[in-house]
Formats: sequence, C-alpha cells, structure tokens
Amino acid sequence: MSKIGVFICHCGENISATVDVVRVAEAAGKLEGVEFSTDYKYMCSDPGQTLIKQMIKEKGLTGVVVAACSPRMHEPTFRKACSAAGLNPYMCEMSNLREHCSWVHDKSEATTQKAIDLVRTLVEKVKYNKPLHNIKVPVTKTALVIGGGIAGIQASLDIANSGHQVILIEKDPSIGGHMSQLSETFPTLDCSQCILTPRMVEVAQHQNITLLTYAELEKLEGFIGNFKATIRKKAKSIDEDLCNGCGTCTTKCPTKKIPSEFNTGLGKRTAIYVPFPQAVPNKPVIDKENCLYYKNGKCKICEKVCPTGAIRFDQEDELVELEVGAVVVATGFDVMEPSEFSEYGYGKYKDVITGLQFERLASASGPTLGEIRRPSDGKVPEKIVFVACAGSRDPSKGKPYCSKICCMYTAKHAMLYQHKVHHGQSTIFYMDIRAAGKNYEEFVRRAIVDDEVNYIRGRVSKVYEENGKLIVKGVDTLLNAKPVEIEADMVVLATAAVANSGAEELAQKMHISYDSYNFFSEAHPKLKPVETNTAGIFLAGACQAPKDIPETVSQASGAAVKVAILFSQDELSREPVVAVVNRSAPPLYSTCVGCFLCATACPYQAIGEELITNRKGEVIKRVAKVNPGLCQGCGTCVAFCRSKSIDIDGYSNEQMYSEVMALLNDD
Amino acid sequence: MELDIPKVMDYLRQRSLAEGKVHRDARDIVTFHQSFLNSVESNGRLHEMGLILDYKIHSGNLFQDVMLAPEMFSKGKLHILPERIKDRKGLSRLFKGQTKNKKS
Amino acid sequence: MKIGFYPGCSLTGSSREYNESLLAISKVAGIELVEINDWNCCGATAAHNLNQELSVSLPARNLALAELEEMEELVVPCAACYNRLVMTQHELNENADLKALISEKLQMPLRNNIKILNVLQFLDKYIVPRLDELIKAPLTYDVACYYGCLLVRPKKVMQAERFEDPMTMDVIMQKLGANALDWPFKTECCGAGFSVSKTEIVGELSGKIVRNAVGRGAKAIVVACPMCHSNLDMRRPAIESYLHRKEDIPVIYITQAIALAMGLSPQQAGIQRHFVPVNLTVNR
Repeated sequence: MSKIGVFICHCGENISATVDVVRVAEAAGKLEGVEFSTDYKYMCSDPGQTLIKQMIKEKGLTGVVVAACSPRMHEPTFRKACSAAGLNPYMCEMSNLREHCSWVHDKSEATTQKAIDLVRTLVEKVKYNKPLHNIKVPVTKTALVIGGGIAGIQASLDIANSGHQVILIEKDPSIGGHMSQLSETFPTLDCSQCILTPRMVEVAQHQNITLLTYAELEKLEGFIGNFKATIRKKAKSIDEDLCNGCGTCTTKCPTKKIPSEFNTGLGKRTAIYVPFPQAVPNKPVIDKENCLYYKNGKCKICEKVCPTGAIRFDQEDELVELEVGAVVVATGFDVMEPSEFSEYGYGKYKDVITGLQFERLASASGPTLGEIRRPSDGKVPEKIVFVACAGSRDPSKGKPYCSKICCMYTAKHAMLYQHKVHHGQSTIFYMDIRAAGKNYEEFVRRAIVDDEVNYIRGRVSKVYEENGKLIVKGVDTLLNAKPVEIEADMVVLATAAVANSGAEELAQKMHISYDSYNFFSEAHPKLKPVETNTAGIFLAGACQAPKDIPETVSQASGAAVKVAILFSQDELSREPVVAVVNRSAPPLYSTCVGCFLCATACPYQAIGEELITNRKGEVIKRVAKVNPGLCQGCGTCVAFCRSKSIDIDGYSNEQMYSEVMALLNDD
Repeated sequence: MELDIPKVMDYLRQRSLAEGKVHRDARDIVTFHQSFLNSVESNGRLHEMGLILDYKIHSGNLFQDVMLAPEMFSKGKLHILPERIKDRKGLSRLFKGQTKNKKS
Repeated sequence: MKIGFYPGCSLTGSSREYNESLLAISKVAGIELVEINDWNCCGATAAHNLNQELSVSLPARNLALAELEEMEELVVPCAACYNRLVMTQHELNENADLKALISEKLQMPLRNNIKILNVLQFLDKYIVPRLDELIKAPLTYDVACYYGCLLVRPKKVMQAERFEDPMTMDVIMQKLGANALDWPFKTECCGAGFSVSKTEIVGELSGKIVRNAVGRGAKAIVVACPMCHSNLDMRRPAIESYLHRKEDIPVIYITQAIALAMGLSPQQAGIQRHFVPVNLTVNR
C-alpha cells in the first residue's frame, strides 16, 4: 500500500506565476496512494527539505514526489533529504513543472491541467519504485600512465607524490618525448632539456613510480578501479640490472649509419644505441632491424666489450600483467610529413626542413652541435625563409585545424637563428600570428623589433632550387598582393601537428573515443577536458589536441588530480540506475535466452556472459550479465532484448508503462 | 568550404562587361575574345584569319603581327577561307540572346 | 580499333602539325581516330570569359554529337578543348536543370557519360603499351617536359595524379630513350590566350620557362598543348625580347617525339611547320 507524499514547489514565482500550484496540490491529494500533498515556496531551501523529512517521519511515507524544477538541478538534494529521514533515496522522484511546464507555456487553465498531469504521472511511477542501493566497486590504487613525455612525466609525479603507485610506460628507449628534442622553449628561451631532465630523473628515482621503457600497451581489460593491463616489454637485448650505462658498446658498434629518429633523420646512430646523452634510463637498446647479429648472425662486438656482460642476444619480448585502478593516456603527437605538399619541395631538396628538424639543428646536443647549418653542404645559411601554416588551416590538402604552437615556435626559430647568425636574414611567411598565451605577444614583438625578423603576410606558392639556392615564391598581401621572390639558403616548414601513427589502434585497444584526426576525445569540450567517455581513463597532453608545454603540464596535473580523487575512496559508489538481467527460480533461472544482442548493442562493453551451473559444475544455461561498474543506464539493451529479459532498475518497463498510462488516462 | 575561384573570376569578368566597367588596359583582351566569338558564331569554328582581321579593326592595332602572317601562310597554318560547319542554324540557336556585348 | 576524335580549331589551323603527328602515330599503332561529324569550336577562353551559357553549350554540342555517333571514348588532344569539355561534363553532372536547358537548346539528347581522354591518357592507354615494339630510332637527348596549366588544373575536376610534378610525359620520353629532366617549371603558366592581346605577358611567362629549361641543360621542350606550343615557339621573338638574348631551343609535341622515335620522317611529324628550327642532334 503506497503512502506517497507530494510536494509542489512555487519556485519563487518561476512556477507559481503560470501554474496554479495550490490547485495542483489539491488535485494530487485526491489521487489514490497519496498520503500527503502540499505546496511550498522554495522546496530546495532548508525549511523545504525539513518539511519533507518531517512528513516522511510523521506520515510514514513510502515514496516522495517533489514537483519543482528539473531533476538535473535538485534530484540529489531531495534524495539526500529522504535518505536523512530514513527513506531509500530512490523512492524519491521529481516532476519537472518548471522547464517542462511553467517556463514554456503562458498562464492558462491548460497549463495548470498539464502540471496536474505531470504530477500524476510521477505518482504512478513511484508506486512501482523499489528501494535501490548504490553499487560499490573496489578501487585498485595504482595508476598506469601511458607515454613518457612531459605530460606523462608530470602526471606520474603528481600521482606518485599524492602517495599512490604509478606505472609509467614509454614506447621509446627513453622518456622525454618531443620536449627533449627542443632546443629552447618559448617564451622564456629556457633550455628545454635543462628544465626537463630534472623531472626525468625524479621519475626514475621516485619510490612510487615504476618506469618501463621500450614498452607498449598490449591489451586493456576491466573497468574503472579494476583494470587489467597487459604490457609488452619489448626486448632491449640488455640485462638492465647488469648494465651500468658506461656506453662502451655504442662507441664500438660497427653499424654507424642508421638515421637517428631523435635527430629527425639529420644525424646518425649506431645499432646498439642510447637515443640521446641525457636519456633516462641511460641504458642502450639494440635495434634488431639494423643490428648485424640479428640480420645475419655476425659481429657481437658489443658483447665482447661490455665490462659487465650485460648484452643478452635473443632476449624475447615479455608480457606483463598489471592491475591498475586508473589509466592516464599521455601519448603525445607527431609532426606531419609534408610530402603531400610537393610544391614546397620537402624530400626533394635537402635544405627544406620541418620545424622539428630545425630544433635539432639549433640544439646543442644535435647533429651540428647547435650551429645552424644546411643539411646539403654544411654551410651556414645567410637567408632563411620560414613558412608558417604548412599543412594546418588547410581544408583542401592538409588539416583544417590550427596546430596552435607553430606561430610561437616559428618566431622562436627566427630569433634563435638571428642570435646565432648575426648577419643572417630571416623571413616568415604567415597568415595570422597566434600568440595568445602569457608573455607570448611580447615574445613575438621581440622577434620583430629586437631581432628584426621580417614578417610577410602571405602564403608561399612554390619552392624550387636554382644554382644551389632555394627560390621561394610567395605574396605580400599587406602590400596589395605584391608577388615576392626570395633566394633563400634554407626553408623551414612549420608543419601541422598530427596524432601519432598508432593512435587509432591504441584508442581502440582502450575503448576510448577519438575524432576524425585520431586525437583522443575528451568527455566534454568545455567542462571535462581531462576525462574520456570511458570511466577511469584520463587524458593529458597533445594526444587530445595540439598544445604547448604550459597547457600540457596543467592538463597533466588535472588528470593526476582526477586519479587522486578516484583513489581517495576505497570503494567507488555508483548510481544503481543500471541494467539488470532478470533471474528467477529454477528450472527457468532467467527468461534470457543467451542471444547476446544486448551485448552487441551496448556502447560501453558492459554486458558479458554468465554461466549458470548446477552443483556438479555442469553448465545449465548461458545468460547475459550486466557489469554494474560499467553500465551507464542508457537502456539500449532493453530496447534490443527480444524476450524482455533485461530492464533498468529505476526506469523499468513497468514504471515507464505506468507513466504513459497515467498521462493518457486523465480522470 | 572551398571557393570556386575560376568561377568567381569568370563571373566578375561577365559582370564588369555587362555594367560597362572594363578597365582601360583590358580593352584589347575583351576585344580579342569578342572577335573570337564573332568568328565562331559565323562559322561554327574559329577562322583565325577572320579573328585577326576583326581584332585589328576593333582594337586599332592594325599593324600588329604583320611580320608573322607570311610565315604562317607558308607553313600552311593560316587559311584564307573559313571552314564552316553544316548545322549553322543549330549553332545560331545557342548564340541567340547570348550577349557578347558588342555588335559584330 | 576506332576511337572518337575531337580535333578542335587549333589542330586544323595554327597547330596542324600536332594533328598530323597524332594521326601518323595512331596509324602506325593501328588506331583509327574518327572525327566527330560537324563538330564546332568549344569556345575556349573567349566563351567562359564572356558568357556563362555559351561556355557550356558550345562544348556540350560536341558531346551530344559524339553520343549520337555512339562513341564511347573521345580523344581531345588540345588541352584547352579537353579542359572545356571535362569542365562542361562536370558542370552538367552537378546541375540537372542546366543539363536539361542545354539539351533543349541543342535539340539533342544528352546523357553526358562519354569518356573524355586527353592526349596523355590516350597515349598511355593505346600507344605506350606498344612502344617497345614500335620504337625504331630512340631519341637520346635531355628534354624538359612541359605540361602547362590545363592538363592538371582545376585539381578537383582534372584529378591528375601528380598535379604539382606530373610525370606522364616524362615516363613516355624515358621510354623513347630520352632523358627527361627534373625541373620546377612543369606546370607554370605560359601566358595562355594573351598571345595576341598582351603579347608581352607571354614573352615574360614563356621566357621564364625557356630560361629555366635551357639552364637545366634541356635540348628540347616537349609539350602537349597547342597554346603552349604556340607561345613557346611562334612567340619566340617576344621571349627573346624579354630575356634579352637569343634562344634556339626547339619545342616539339609529345606526338612528334613519338613519331620521330617510331622512325617516321620529320615531314610526317610536321617538324618543318615550326618557327624555331628543330635540329636535334644526338646529345646526352
């Protein structure tokens, strides 16, 4: 026997101005099953809530309907109030008389009648409500951070410093990412490695961080608080415990001409190599594709010269299973190969290079030890042309989006060039100058005023070679579209920032969303920048969208806090409005026939299988089972199920039907 | 969203002609095209000799390329008489009402 | 083997050597090019500059005529005519109302589905596969293959594979034994229809092309467009005026190059009709 309490809110004048709330309360009071009905000016206020609590106790209410604003506003408020009075919070429902009625209609008889209908609908629903309890999910307080660039490093340090374990995996032999390739960072012109390496060392030495380099994610299963990650530790061919990082092997390796990935192809490395001198860990790996031993069984010089006997040929990849509670994805970005832009001559002319390659030239640890030199003949260029937006903001051939960092780094490159080559002439062809960060505009002004970098607003139509010089044909749109031709010694293309080549595959492994550019999708573009749509997996850095270092660090710390919030509870409490497959007594056990259409429909991979066995362990029936930790209560499975065996707690078919019937039958 | 630049350029040319706003330096260009279409309207195919004569008369550049003509003739590249198509009626249907903005 | 053929006005007049060489090599390869009966001028630059409807109706008449003769493929050697016909086909496919209007004015049905081939596509499909057996006298000079604008632009409609650095003619020339140079002016404009009305523009633009080709060591410029040929060849005085020096690099059509390599006489290739004499010596 239902004893429902109905509370009609005036919402100040928001509802009472168009709806006759007193009449609605009266009408509700006459409904079968309603024990108490009243109206009040502000139900969400303290006295309003106290009224609900009082009435629950006084009248022994079994259900509560608050007819007021949208449940998105105050459902938690009223449910908490009921809970405090000893009534299961899920016996409390809200009827939306504001957004659904008073705010969209004029004052009239029909409006009040509609309000009465809306209240009656919810009263009928509540008659079928059952007490529900929040679902508790345990939390493993270890985080997995994928990607060892500045984003991954920052996130790892923050999570580790909050007292939790972190496993940081990085696919390259060393952490550091693109930031370690930069020479100086804008707007301070700090030496990039100088500010990065202390953090890298901190990560390596932190007692809460386990660093796995040359390792990739193989598989990710589970759900928030309870992930199972399988990591593939690629074979380095080194025993890391024995290796002391002396580097003798790298000096003796006979294969010296492999293009260095770290130096963007401008320098060479050996087959057994450490990517750069400040690498963390400073232990080499063997490049199996180019090592003489792995290719044709010869050489083995490194093994002979190693003082600690750390070389382990024929070492195999190792698969490691980790139990983690949260994942932070910080896999970073890549620079676009501008071979699509054959008019710029990249790949054809050696002295046409990308911005990242220029960083390596400018870097003191680079292939030219910090001197700007032409890759073709090693001469110092007298004139450099920088082409901004090479591939960005280009819907017809490149990427439609803006890569955000190029205006700043191009100004930086021009400044570095002017500082190193005082008599040099630099020209930047630009479309706009986007310098929106703190001290960014002043930085660009310095380039223009102090370092006399020549900015020409216009695009470059062609770059070709003539007598060892690069002829750059562009236009100056601020001078009435005057054609400009410059004979340059070097051309630097600020190519678009794109997603890493393995990004799509990785996103699919983790079941996180990604956009058409393969950047990973945040849960909400404004309000949830570090979460994904998959609970427990967070984003940090340029893998979400191109961004500079300050933003990356901020986002990484943000993701770390989300992890810390998750880990601050021993158990996760989730709303019990989830799907449930019905179970009944033997011999039926369930009306579910095991077709698993629901599993294919579920967007959250929340439905698995359950084997119903007898005492002997024989399988009697195979039915669907919803993982309450993953289910988001969308109801798609309920629509798909042909045998009506699955339903949502709190939004059951029965409840929905009663609401519809209540609306249709207006006595 | 991409702009069809050639179409925009053609539209601007046609509008400038319709509104009588042809730039002084571009007059010869317009004259050339009009002479071209006049020849096509008469014969169905371009009669280069006719084009040049029509152009010279209307542009006033009477002595332009006079040195070229003899060599063109001797190499068989210039015909005195035009080649005319048979279905001239069908062709004139296409030209009817279409303004080139000049009298033939 | 019979294929539909639209010569266009220039091939019957000022660029007749292009026609002659094309027919000559087709004959050797056993292909009969059937001219569309009573074809008309496509309108070239004049039509689309002055009148939108004419720019579409003039080419469309030829397409309709070709359909009436049940031609499946249509070879259009002149790059400008080719460009106009393909643009028209594209325009009429996009705009059903326009197609109906034009069809009515023509008083001919218009399915608009004929396959239009430019000279390079024709050569690739019908001549190149047989080159190995047909070459009698390989050409062994350095050449600069010049494509001009209309074979590769507009990018969306022409759908050329490599629109900044095309290689179709280069590949053919290599097959003929020549050394096709890599050079950056392959698709720069020659000055197009300004030959008569603004000759100095042609002098400058074509002059830059000639200067670059000569500077790279080319002994001949190979073209596939009558307008480009005329600007680079007939307008040589204007070019020399811009460059302030004499240049005697000859300009030949790709069809002429193939004709010479097939062992046909210079007469059959129409070489004598050029303004700049073609004295190609064996030189690599």
